[in-house]
Amino acid sequence: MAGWLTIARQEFRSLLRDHRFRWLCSAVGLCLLAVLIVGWQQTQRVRAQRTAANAIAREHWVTQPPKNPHAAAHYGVYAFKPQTALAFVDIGIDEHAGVVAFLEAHKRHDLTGTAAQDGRTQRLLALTAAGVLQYLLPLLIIVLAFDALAGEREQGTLRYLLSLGVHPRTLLAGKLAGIGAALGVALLPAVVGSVLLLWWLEDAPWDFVRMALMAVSYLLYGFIFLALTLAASSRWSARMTLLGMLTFWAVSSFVVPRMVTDLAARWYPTPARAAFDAAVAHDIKQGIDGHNPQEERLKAFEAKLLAQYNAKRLEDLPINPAGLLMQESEEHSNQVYAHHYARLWSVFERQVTLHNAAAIVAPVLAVRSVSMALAGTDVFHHLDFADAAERYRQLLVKTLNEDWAYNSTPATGETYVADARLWTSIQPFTYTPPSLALALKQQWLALAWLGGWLGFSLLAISSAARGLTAVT
Amino acid sequence: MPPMLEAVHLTKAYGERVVVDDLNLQVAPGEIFCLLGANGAGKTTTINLFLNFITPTKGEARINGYVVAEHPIETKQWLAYIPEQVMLYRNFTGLENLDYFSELAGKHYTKRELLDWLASVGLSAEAAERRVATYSKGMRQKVGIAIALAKEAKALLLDEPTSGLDPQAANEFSQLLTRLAAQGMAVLMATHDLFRAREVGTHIGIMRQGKLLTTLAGADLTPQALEQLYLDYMRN
Repeated sequence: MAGWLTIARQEFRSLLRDHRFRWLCSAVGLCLLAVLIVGWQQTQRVRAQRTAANAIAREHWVTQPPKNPHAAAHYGVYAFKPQTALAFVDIGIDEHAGVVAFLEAHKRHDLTGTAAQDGRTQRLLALTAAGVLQYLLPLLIIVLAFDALAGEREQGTLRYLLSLGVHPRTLLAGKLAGIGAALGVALLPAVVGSVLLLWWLEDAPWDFVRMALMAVSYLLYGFIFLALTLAASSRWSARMTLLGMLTFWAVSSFVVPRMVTDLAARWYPTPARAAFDAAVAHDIKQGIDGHNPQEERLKAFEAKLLAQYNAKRLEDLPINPAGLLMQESEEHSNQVYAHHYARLWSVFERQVTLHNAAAIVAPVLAVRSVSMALAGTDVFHHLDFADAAERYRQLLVKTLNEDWAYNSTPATGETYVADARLWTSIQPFTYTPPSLALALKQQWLALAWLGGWLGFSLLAISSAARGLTAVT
Repeated sequence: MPPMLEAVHLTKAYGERVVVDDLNLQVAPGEIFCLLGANGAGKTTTINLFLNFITPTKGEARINGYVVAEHPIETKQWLAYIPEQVMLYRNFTGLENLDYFSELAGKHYTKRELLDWLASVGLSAEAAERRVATYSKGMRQKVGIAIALAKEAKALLLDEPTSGLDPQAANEFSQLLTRLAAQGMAVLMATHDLFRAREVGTHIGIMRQGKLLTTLAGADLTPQALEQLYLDYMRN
């Protein structure tokens, strides 16, 4: 048996015999399993609720009584963000971001239906599997590995090992593998459980690919902490290693993310709701940056219509101008909304970029972003859904306005009504989340820092192998 | 044929403080070289230099003709080491400890063979199956010797091996050491136990403040000479 395997086996057996390990791993393993099951139940319930709500909303839409199409546009429809299967592992921002879009004429609404309104606050004090992996796993690793080498040196067994001709690199590789295997055993029930739970959520195969990638990213994250702890343990005393690594864990997991959140809010502030709405209302009326006010636009559009149909008065048109004027007004407000939401999205993106950039000092920020992206619950997925809902809103309103315009005359006015034939001809809203490649591309900085931390931990472990000595 | 253990102008200094000063010695197969000296004489540092736990400031430690600092891993294949306190894994039995260290030394034994090695140093099968946490120092020392034997090393480095052992265990240890030397093992033992050194040593080197002051043949030492040695060199 290769030397590193012998050491790995010894470390593995040693940990299994250690009651600290058994207690800690049981606690973390059970906690992980519990939050996975609770998260899964919650996800299943939310998905069922949203499917049902979608069906009810569609039913309401197609069974609405005959009415003017523009009135139907105000009646509106609801679009529910489908919850991704992996939300049971990482709920991401879905916990506090809206999931329901009300789509109607003239107005782009923000998503509503946040956690407090759909009961998800009951989820084990918001502890999720991702949270356990991001915060408790490193703690478990530190507690189990801090004396892996320092303990050998302090007990005197390191002298023995090195006197046998064991290369420090072999020793470190064995320790890594042994502790890693023991942790693997501890987390195995949760891993198997999450695969089964995903299977029972009956989702598309790409979710398993995402889950596999998520597992890899957490594996790398765990490796980073294990390698850094072993590197510290190779140079410092056990006590110093424990103290140093716990400080690093606390600062990188809690202090830095909190600071970055505050900095992001200060450097890239989002406008207050009232200010945002007022700015939109102003631009709709006056035009973006004061150009092309609404009244002038509509007058110009009327002139264009009269010229197009070679008519002198609107009443002489063969179509109903009210529908087209409504649509023209809609096009204008669409531009205004697009302009303001693009600016708002840009602020969100800058905030996310700042978070990801801060992963240089806090690996948890990198793995958190990657995890949420893979679960489909990050900011980019949220914005993508909001944009998709907005595109559908615009198409819906345009279809209704044009039906009114081209199926009636000026004389008909607002008395024109459409019926279920029109309502059913409009396809329901469907949403396809961004592809895996696109989701990961959006988080390139987080991926880069995860890679950077991996490289740094490999360097640290390699340097530890060179510097490992039995004599201090 | 080169000596199995050799120090050539071996020097170790920490800044201005020289802890091993131009040490020259040779230990051939079958010889037991005892490094005698008071605390701080440089004995353990010499052992550490042969183990490459520290690098020499000047000179060379050689094992089987190979310079230790240049071949730190290769030279360990001929070497076994028993420290003053043999520290083992407390959660494992003596048998499991021997199995682990033997595996790492590249030796693969069956359970029967491992028990035989332990029996050869006086550790019963019952004791071998007990966790090391329950062992006395003497029992741990026996496992340490068994590890050295199982490795089938050509050279043995001992750092105060009988310190803290009861007289019977120390005597057994001396007999074992003599037997190993008779089988061709080269032994370098750091000790401050004059009587033990005279009992087993083929050569006795007196160290003081890092210097090897003199080397005597163990067989030539009379009790009077021993007493004089103590008065001359060992008292701080």
